[in-house]
Amino acid sequence: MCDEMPNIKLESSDGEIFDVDVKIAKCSGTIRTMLEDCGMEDNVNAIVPLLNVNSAILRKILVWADHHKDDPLPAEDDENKRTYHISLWDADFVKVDQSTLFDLILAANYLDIKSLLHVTCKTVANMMEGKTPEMIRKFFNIPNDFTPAEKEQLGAENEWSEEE
Amino acid sequence: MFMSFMFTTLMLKYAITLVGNMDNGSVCEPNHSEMEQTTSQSALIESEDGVNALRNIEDNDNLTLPTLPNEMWLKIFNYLSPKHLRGINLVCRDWYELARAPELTRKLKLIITEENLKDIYDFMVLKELQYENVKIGRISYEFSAMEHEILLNIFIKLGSSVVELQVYSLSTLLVLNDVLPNLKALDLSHCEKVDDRAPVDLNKFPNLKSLSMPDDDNDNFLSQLLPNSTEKTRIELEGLSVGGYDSNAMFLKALAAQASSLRWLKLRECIRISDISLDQLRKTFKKCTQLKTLDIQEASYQGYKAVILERLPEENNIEVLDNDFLEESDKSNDCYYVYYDDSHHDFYFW
Repeated sequence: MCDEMPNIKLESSDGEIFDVDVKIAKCSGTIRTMLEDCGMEDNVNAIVPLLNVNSAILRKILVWADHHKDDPLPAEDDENKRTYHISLWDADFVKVDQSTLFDLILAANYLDIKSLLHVTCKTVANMMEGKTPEMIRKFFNIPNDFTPAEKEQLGAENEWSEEE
Repeated sequence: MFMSFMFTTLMLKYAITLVGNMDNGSVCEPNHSEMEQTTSQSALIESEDGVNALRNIEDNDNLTLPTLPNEMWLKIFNYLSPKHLRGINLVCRDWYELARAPELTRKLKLIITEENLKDIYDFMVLKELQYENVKIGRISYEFSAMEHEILLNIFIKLGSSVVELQVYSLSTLLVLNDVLPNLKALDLSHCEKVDDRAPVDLNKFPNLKSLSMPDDDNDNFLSQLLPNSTEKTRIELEGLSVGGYDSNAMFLKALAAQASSLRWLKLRECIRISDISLDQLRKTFKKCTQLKTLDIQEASYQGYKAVILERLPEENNIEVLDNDFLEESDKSNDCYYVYYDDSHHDFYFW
């Protein structure tokens, strides 16, 4: 930790306060924008309430942010999602239960941490690969709400399309 | 339904709750008044946003079931390869709608053959079908006049969504060329016959950005297609794929005409360029100031490749895609495929 960087306080949804190096907190685009736009950069006493992130998830997110604090900011148009590279450390980080993984996705989206959103979304996408629609429903607890007639029609529609 | 994904990230959690509440409200029509309190599954299915309503119920009754909002699922689907994308619309109604997002459907290709032609037509009478990428026919098959008429009827509805098209016969293109206003990429590389009586007019496709020409040994296609497109229109191709030209005058002329816009050039098998034009070739390449990628992987004649590579002006920094070249410089195939994927993405090419 470098001494010249001030800390800020982040408050999780369940009221826990985290004292965080500003550099680490700035991995979050949301916090970065807020600090810069509101001129709060020098305000060491600022407490930022994160209403949508509980302490367990925030703790995990801070581990991510600490590991990635020196990464360059990602380009805005990261269109080529499939060609992205996931490091071993990142892959290990997202080896969590489904509920935590979903919470990480929501938190990464809320806090605008693009690298984490990428790795978590890619991880869920990998889980879906090779599964039939029925297996996907079971895996992610999604109810099948098609009528039998709709199901039949869908089957036909899918036969005409082909992957590139 | 897509409007519900437009909530800002900061409002995310609140937004989900809000959508759920609105759904409960919206399904409280006279027929479904039991929805307000109970959770009869069949009643839920009647509602447009059945799954959102279910999610709301899950949030209330069973907090342990992890769920994600549709906005996040759509992000996740973007990471799926086309192969795995195919089945997701069968999972539930919400996913069926999500799977229709243009960013996803562009990855899928509709294949129309003589066998499914009628089925697709019947389907489109009842329901809307949108595909950005369509392939019609197969090698050496000519559709009958009646089949072409069905095809035209399909494309009257489907045509405006089509961005990429591959046809196996120019006569098919002639039937459809008035109903493809948004076409950006046209693949004619497997077309065989030229119909002199009814030339294809690329002016019909004002947005055309990439063109894959048929193999051609006597300039028939080129004289019919490209001079028209360059002399009389504003078409500015960013990608061009050519192959099989024995004589080269037309090729160079076409290349020169598209030089200012061309970013991607693919020279396929069999292209031979006589010694006389080598200097001209160098000059033409020099004019291609936007050219970023030259793909000569399918041009198997090594001597020819060397000739081309020698004529590339160094100052243009053109990336050459060539399997042999990549092997020599000890790059893995993975590297190459990643790169190719990128170029495909940008330029709608094959």
